[in-house]
Amino acid sequence: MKLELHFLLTISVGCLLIATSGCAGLLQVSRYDKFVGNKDAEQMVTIDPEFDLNPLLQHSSDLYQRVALRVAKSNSDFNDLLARNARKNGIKLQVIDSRTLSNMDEDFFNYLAPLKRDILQSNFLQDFGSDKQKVNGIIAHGKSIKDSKTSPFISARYGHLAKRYGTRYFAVQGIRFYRKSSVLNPLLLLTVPPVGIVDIINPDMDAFYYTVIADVVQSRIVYREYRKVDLKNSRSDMNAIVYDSFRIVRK
Amino acid sequence: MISAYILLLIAIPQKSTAQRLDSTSYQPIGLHGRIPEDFLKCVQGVLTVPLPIGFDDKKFINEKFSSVTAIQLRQIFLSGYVYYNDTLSAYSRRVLQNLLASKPEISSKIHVFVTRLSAPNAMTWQDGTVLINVGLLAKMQNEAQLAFVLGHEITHFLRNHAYQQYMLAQGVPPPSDVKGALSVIQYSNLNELYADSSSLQLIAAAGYKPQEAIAALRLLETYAYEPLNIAASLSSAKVTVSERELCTPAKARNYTQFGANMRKTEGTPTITIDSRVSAILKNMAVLPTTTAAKIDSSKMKTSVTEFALMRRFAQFEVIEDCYQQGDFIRTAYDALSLLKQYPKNKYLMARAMNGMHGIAAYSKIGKLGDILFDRFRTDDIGLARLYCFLRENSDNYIQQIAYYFVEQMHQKHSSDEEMLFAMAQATELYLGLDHALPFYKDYLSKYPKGTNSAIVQLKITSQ
Repeated sequence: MKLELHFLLTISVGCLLIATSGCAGLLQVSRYDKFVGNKDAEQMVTIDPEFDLNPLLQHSSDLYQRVALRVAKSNSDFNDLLARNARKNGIKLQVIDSRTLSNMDEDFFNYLAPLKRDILQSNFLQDFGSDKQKVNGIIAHGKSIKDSKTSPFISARYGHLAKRYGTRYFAVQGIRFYRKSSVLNPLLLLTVPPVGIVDIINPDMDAFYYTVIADVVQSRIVYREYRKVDLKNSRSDMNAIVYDSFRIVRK
Repeated sequence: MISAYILLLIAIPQKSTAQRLDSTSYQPIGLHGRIPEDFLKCVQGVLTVPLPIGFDDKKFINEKFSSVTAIQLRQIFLSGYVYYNDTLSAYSRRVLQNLLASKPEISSKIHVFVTRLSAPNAMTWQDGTVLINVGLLAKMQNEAQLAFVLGHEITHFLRNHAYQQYMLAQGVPPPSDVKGALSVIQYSNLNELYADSSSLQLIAAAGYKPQEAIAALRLLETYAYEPLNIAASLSSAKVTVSERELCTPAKARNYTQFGANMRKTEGTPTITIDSRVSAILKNMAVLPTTTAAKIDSSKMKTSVTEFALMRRFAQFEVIEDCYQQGDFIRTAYDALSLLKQYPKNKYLMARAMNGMHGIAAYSKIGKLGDILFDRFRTDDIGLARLYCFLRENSDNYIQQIAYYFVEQMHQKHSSDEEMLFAMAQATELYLGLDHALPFYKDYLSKYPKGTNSAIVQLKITSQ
């Protein structure tokens, strides 16, 4: 009897630990076989990284302008995180930040913005902000990157940027936050306790982090990484994700 | 002295414009010079969004609307889609000034920009930013029609339609909706009719012919060019595409936005062009006689040549946009259509080659159907017949047609930089790198510092 109780207690604690561990998340990486991270990715340019809280702002009761200012600050922090973690992984990363553009930065509008658009389009990410289904389509429902409608090509017109920026690798990176659906949680708790516990205890945000790298000389996407994580907008959480991401790029 | 300086300032851009576009070549519009302040404000998201009085108690929604406007405009301007210091925006602004010659206090509040987008559309924002897609400019046939479009957009701005629609979406009915029973779509449809009617009065008051309002609306639903003879255009000395191989118009209709194979449009239908035209006809009948007296049906305020040049730029830019967006089918189709007017234009030949090569490349990796068909819809039956032909034939056949098409085009100007590169790419795709190397080497010897020299060098050294 005593042994049974102990066994049940162990199982319950185990379930609780698993359920609350915050490990829920998915990662997909696809790499062009000729792209060798530890050799090729020593230097990269990342074009206007995106820190997107907009889907959450729709539901915020805080003054919009105030939240928007917070987003701008977070974006700047995110850019710093990218640069620092790239450095830790031996990558010299040049971050192009649109918030610091001056009225002489015609290069950005002639080349970098179209290149970013091109990279996003080749991954069907261009209207992601409003389309959570797309995130789910690619990741949550287990559809692999290879199966999804992605194109390996970008336009051939960016080859000259390699000379100008000293590298042929240009990345588009970002993190987007989505509000989790809270309607289902109590129901899940009643029906499948461990799943319900995960959803109730974990943060009420999903974060979708992506890194897509294009080789402008070969006019093709060489690396794609999507990950979906339960994540609070905390610096330490993001730091871990960004570090891990660059570590995988360098493999 | 001052007037001489102004003349010089006007003359320089006109000269560079003339150099960029002639019967044999075209240089796509680039963004150069100091970025204008009103453009930079949108990029930085620091806008003043004037709100109408009467909703002061809705502070939270007002503030949210202002921020949404700023965020959306920032995203659009950051995308690289918006031109600045360019011929098209300058022309559009001049037409706006002509339209509002008697109301300078309004024209000073409006900032017109042209975007690179090929869809025939225009948008207005509460801060006074008006964005006109180059696809719409390419369809207009005279200045009066563009004036009608601008008048329509100005009315949206003056009547705060964007704001009112946002408020309605937030559950705050506009003052005109006394019963509070309108849906956002219904209200939007009413706004469209109102903007048409107000624009009709504006153009008539400015001396433009009111009938051009109807012509402008009708042009929105028609293709810009004469139908293309697809079979003849795709045929080469080595492969002949016969008319019988093409889909019938009835079958091709499935590949238009009205057909079963394409994505359906969502939500309540927006107002049709027919109903807008009927409403305009009614409004024309009651135009004030004083206004009618001012109308000079033959005269436009800018010269016909100036309009024709602007339109030609727009048509070429539409092709460039389709190409940059990876819509290779439309790139090839539009380039071939425009080649009928400019048969010696090397830019058009190169884009037709790029379009066909893009089609072949996606066909080769088995993604032609995935990538090129479900992202775009078409209203034009000619283009739909090309879609249908590509979809209904084997990948091998499509690749063969594309390769021989590119080869034939290349033979016309074998030394042209873009055409030589397109030929090398097409050969690599169809026959392999070994066969393509002579073309890549030829390219590098002729254009050692060319746009694609880095790629070409890589191809040669990888061998």
